[in-house]
Amino acid sequence: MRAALVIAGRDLRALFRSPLAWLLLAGASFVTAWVFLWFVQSFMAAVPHLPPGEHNTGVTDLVVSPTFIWVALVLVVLTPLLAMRLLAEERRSGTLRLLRSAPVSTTAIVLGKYLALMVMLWLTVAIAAAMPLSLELGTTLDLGRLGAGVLALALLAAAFGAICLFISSLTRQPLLAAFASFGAILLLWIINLAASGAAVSGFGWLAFQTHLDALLRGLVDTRDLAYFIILTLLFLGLSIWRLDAERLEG
Amino acid sequence: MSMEHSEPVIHAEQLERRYGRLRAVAGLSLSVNRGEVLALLGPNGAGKTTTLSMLTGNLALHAGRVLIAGHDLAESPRQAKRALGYLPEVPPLYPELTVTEYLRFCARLHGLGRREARAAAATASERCGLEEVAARLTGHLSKGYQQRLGIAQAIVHRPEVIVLDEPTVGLDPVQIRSTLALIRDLADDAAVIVSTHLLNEAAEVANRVAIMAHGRIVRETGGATGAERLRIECTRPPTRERLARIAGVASVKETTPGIFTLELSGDKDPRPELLAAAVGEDWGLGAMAPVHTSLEDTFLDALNARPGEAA
Repeated sequence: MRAALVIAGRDLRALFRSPLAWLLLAGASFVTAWVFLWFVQSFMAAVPHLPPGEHNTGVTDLVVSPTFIWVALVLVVLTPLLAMRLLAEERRSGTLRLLRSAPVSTTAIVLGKYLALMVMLWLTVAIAAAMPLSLELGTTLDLGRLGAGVLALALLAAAFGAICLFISSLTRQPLLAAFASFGAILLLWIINLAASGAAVSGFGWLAFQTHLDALLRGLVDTRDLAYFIILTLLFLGLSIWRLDAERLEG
Repeated sequence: MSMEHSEPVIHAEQLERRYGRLRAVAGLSLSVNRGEVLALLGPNGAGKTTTLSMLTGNLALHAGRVLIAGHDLAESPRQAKRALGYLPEVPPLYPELTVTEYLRFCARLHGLGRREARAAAATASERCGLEEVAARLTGHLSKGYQQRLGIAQAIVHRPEVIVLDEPTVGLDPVQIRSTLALIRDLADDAAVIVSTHLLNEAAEVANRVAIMAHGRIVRETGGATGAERLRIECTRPPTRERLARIAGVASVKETTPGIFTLELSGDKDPRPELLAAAVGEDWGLGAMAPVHTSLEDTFLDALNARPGEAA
């Protein structure tokens, strides 16, 4: 797995040399901060109307959870843009041949790429989590619930990352990969809206939102964790399979 | 370039690759020893790139096998690939990295430690004449430097087998000359396979030339450097038996009185002994020249042949 680290290191270096990564990180932080401050302000306005003694738990409900939902939406846009070049660009520029003729397994190539992406995404989540955490200076937060929220975002990012990596492995056009990834994530986000009747539970299980909401409410259920982990492993496996299959097709 | 007759470090047997119903490569076998340069010469579309992709693990084989440094490429790919350096048609560069960073990355990718990679990158860039651009981004290099960096990347981990796919495409004549000289140097401690569609390039750089057409090797010959025949002219000629006793000479033909054509056996260069004998025994040696085999004729035949005739 040393090879995976070498590959991840190169990818991160390349990402941080391009203005794209900095712009995206700055954009994501700006949106999160804006939304966060707006929720804090509305909370301040609501405080006089809250029943006495409820302020401390209320802040998690009224500020932290809504902010985190926005962070999730930021990830929907951010992940496809960060992931689009991962494999598509390697294929387009021919460097995939370099990796393939090196003594490196396909699994190491995919994991290296994924690791680089996750460093970026988890950095975004960490920055976003630091903002509500700063409220701890002036009030008392429900840290368990905050932790569940961070876990939810981290797992969501992991699943988004795996999906986008797989889509990037299908094409040699980074932009195409970005659009397709965005579409795929959006579909999984809204898939439960269209369902009715008996299909509700099935589509509900497939949708991100169902599992994200539970975790953001502070309900850490292994079934929700399993959903994200299964999705992540599935798409990582598909990426490896796809790269291997390419050697056979030519 | 010494001609050691050791075990081949790369050996391919009956390679086959199909694209749909088209057989891009079929029944192709080759082996190359350390110290040798093999040129795969063929027109565009003859299957050279497909063959090299199979030899380097970029394309799966539909039949046959590849051994690199004794390891089967399909069964133990990592051991086999550790002994392999490969320059694809387009140098696989990352434009965001500098030359030094790129070479270190390639060395690390081949399993070298951080410190070893540093030393290996320095050696490779010196060998390929890249020191003056070491700090430049690879995306800003000229075509000539990019190609040289591509070769540096293929040798940075000191592989036993070096595979170069059309390494001189897009270079100017001066760059071609220096690249070919570099490739001959590489063969000092490795087996080199180089593909080209240019006859003179193949003849200049290789010990052996394999002519490819329609996915097969249609003929294998010595290159100009390892000529198969010598022509000598003497005013006081020795007997044919005398000439045949010289080591490295397989047979002697006297075409006209005083003019001999020597078939060479290839295991030893007979020229030093010939010269010594000619002086010592006073043959009146007027000329000695390698006779170029009909590489060009064969190549042109291969170009014109139809798929069915090419076997």
